[in-house]
Amino acid sequence: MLEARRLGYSYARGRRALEGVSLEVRPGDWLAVLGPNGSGKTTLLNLFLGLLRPSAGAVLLDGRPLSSWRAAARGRRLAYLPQNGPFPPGLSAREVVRLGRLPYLGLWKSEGPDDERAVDWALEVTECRDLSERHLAELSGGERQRVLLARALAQRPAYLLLDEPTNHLDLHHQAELLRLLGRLAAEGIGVVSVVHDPNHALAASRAVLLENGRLVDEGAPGAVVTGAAFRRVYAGDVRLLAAESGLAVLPRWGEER
Amino acid sequence: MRALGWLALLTALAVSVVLAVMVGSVSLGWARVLTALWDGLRGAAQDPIVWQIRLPRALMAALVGAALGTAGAVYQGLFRNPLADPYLMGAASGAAFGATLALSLSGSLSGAYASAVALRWPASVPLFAFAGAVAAVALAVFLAGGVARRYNLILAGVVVGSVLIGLTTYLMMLDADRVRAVFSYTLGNLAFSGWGDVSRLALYLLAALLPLFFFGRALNALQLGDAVAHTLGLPLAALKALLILGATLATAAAVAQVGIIGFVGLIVPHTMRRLVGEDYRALLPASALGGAVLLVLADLLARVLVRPAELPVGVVTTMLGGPFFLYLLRRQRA
Repeated sequence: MLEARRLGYSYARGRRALEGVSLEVRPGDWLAVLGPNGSGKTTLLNLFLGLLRPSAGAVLLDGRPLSSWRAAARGRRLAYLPQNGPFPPGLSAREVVRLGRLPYLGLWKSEGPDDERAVDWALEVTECRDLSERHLAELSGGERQRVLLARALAQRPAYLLLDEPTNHLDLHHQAELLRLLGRLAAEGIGVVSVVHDPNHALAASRAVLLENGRLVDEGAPGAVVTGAAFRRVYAGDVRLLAAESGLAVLPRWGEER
Repeated sequence: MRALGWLALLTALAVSVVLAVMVGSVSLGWARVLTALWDGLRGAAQDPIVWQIRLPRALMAALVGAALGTAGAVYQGLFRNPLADPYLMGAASGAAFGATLALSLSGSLSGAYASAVALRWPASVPLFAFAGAVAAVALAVFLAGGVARRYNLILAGVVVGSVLIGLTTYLMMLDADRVRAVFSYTLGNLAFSGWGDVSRLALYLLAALLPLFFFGRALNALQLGDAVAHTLGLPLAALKALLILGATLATAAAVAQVGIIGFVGLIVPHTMRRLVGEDYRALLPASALGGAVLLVLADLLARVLVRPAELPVGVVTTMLGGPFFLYLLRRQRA
């Protein structure tokens, strides 16, 4: 289990980015983290990854504080897909995905059959098989995002953390990615995705809403986006539509109420 | 294709060394050069022109080129900055300043005392060069406000480098007796290279350069960004410190021996990317070989362009490197 326990974080000048956040992610969960800009979503993600050290509370991975994990062992449990991260343009997709085996191989051991199997699986599940010999620079944004996700999956993580994974993808690739995350959760991976667009949270199995560094709502995504906290956080800026197959959240424009 | 690239590099290195030994005030035919090399190797009489003058100089050029080429590739990968280079980052100028400072400090001590210092610390020149190079890179990174803004980093490196070259020239003027020895530091020169220099540099490079070749996979992973590299289990702080120290020590050792030779670390890795691709496991050794070839040929040019006089080899590499830098800059913007 990946767990935040009364987690708090303050930046150097004392600004509290996160305060008293407790939540749990179990294998097979798909947790969407919602909240306006500056609400602490990315800080939460960075704490989960061990990129930041909590100033209060703790992150527990399988019951142990994240900080007590050896880096390589942590890399076999937790994987991360940043938004718009840098990438090596001249490496082939397969070479990039192989880098996901680093927590198993360290810097010097060469890949064995287990590693190649993990790489094959990651390329397969992200539908990147046909791209495997192409250089990252030659791929479209959507294809590249899938290869970088395959790199994270080659770690065979128990938990996959993603920062706005649908950013810069067109509708087709957004849908594709959301379906893929659903499949991964169904396979037993705990997925945590920070999302801007509440509609994408609706694909998850659970959602939390952050406001000014505090967790203000948690539950089924449909319940969170129709809840009082959501309405307060986005006061007057959103409207909900009952669509043919569920809900849709739209920005409110014009004067109508 | 890849295998051909390696073969081409090795052949180019062999050919350029033989060429460098052939050309000089007395021209030697290739057959004579090969015979002289073979004779020397099997322990027969050594042709003094080949063995005492031209071969050590060519090997020195190869070692210095390998050091600068590899250091450039490491800096570029580490800072994820295609413009990084030991010269543009200020490392080379820092090393030159350190080396000059060491010389003029030992020079200001009275005779017997100075030689005692030199005896006790024969490494003081490369040691000062190394300290100067590390300090210059640290200062450039600090002034640039981190390594994220690539143009700032290069600007800061160039400014730090220029100030240090100014200071080096100042030290050199204070100490006119040693001007000739010190002069080569600001514009690298391979003219005074003997076997002692070759073996000294080879020793330093064994310590500084060889370990770098084992970090190809780490440099590949760093291309995914620090956050991902961290989640892949890499100890980032230690890894980066080690890579900076290795590349900077290699630069400093080369500069302490032959002075500043600019742009090799910029030209070589970019050319090698075309040849062997961007995988750092291949790019690092290729940059060592490519750097060796480039500097052996550049030194050859330096010896023939203004015959019977000689140019410092730093002039040749700077003439090549300036336009190359502008080409990269334009491609970046495009």
